[in-house]
Amino acid sequence: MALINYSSREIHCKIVYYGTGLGGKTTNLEYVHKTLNPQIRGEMVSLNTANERTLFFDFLPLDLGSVQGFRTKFSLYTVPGQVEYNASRKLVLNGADGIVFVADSQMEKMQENIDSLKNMEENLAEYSMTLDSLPWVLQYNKRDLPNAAPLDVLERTLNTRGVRSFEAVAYKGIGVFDTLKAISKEVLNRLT
Amino acid sequence: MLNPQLSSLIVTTEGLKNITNILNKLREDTKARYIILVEKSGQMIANVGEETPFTMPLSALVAGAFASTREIAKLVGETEFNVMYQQGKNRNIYICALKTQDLLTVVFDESPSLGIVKIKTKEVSEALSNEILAMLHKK
Repeated sequence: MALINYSSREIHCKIVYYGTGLGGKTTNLEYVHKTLNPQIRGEMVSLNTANERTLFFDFLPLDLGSVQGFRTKFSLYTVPGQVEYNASRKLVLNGADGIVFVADSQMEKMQENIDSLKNMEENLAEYSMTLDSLPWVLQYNKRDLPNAAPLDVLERTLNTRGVRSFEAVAYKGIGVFDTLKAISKEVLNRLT
Repeated sequence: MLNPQLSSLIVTTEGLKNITNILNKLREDTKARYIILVEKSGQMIANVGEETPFTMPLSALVAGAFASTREIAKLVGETEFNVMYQQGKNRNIYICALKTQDLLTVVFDESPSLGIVKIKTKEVSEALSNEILAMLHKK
């Protein structure tokens, strides 16, 4: 959970982007990094395999302004989506204050999305957290692809809890900041 | 008002002052370049010594690397590895887990021996843990 520093008047929160392999989690962070002024974001760190797939995590620190006299600092993390890296995924979830679940909208990825969501719940349970107790939002990425599933199908299948959801085309930046704003707001609301 | 129940750690001015004093003394004893105290989920609690613009990514990476070794320990039949040491040509890094699972991270060059760093970090581990526990209990 969040770290509140009364001495420096800062709140540090951790947001984790979770989801299937090649779903666009890293692309979300890359877009945020590319777009934001360097004064409010740090350098992005990526621990990748030789072929640029996330091996452990991506990390991007952001400064998102002040709330009640405290500067809010967010650390954005992604997890490796590939099934075999579950141990790493679990480690990155430790201490998460909020989660963005990035679903791949392609019809044929539906089962992978369902499995990934289930895997996320199992991993959260290891830290005694549940999707009912933690702020989280859904992002339906790759909405521009011709084989993207209809929104209502995605909502019915993945959003059984009725959390906020966003359509996105992450590489173009569509929906990226809407998602980030929503989750950071929910995390801060939970703290205040 | 901020809700303290929902945060894992509230760093108080007094607590930070005490921690900084301990870290400054440790730096003096070890001649370390800088020392960072990292909360287990990857956030920095305190740092002393040379200014570095990389404290945030360093904290995230240290926590990630150490968490990996914890899992490796389990796989090789150990409960956990308490310390991690990386030796470079000019810079070395020594990471020691406190009993709160937070990470005392000492970056040093060739001047102090590893032995000194090991002994001195062990000496302050208890006091640092107690400071963190005191802040946790103040919630």
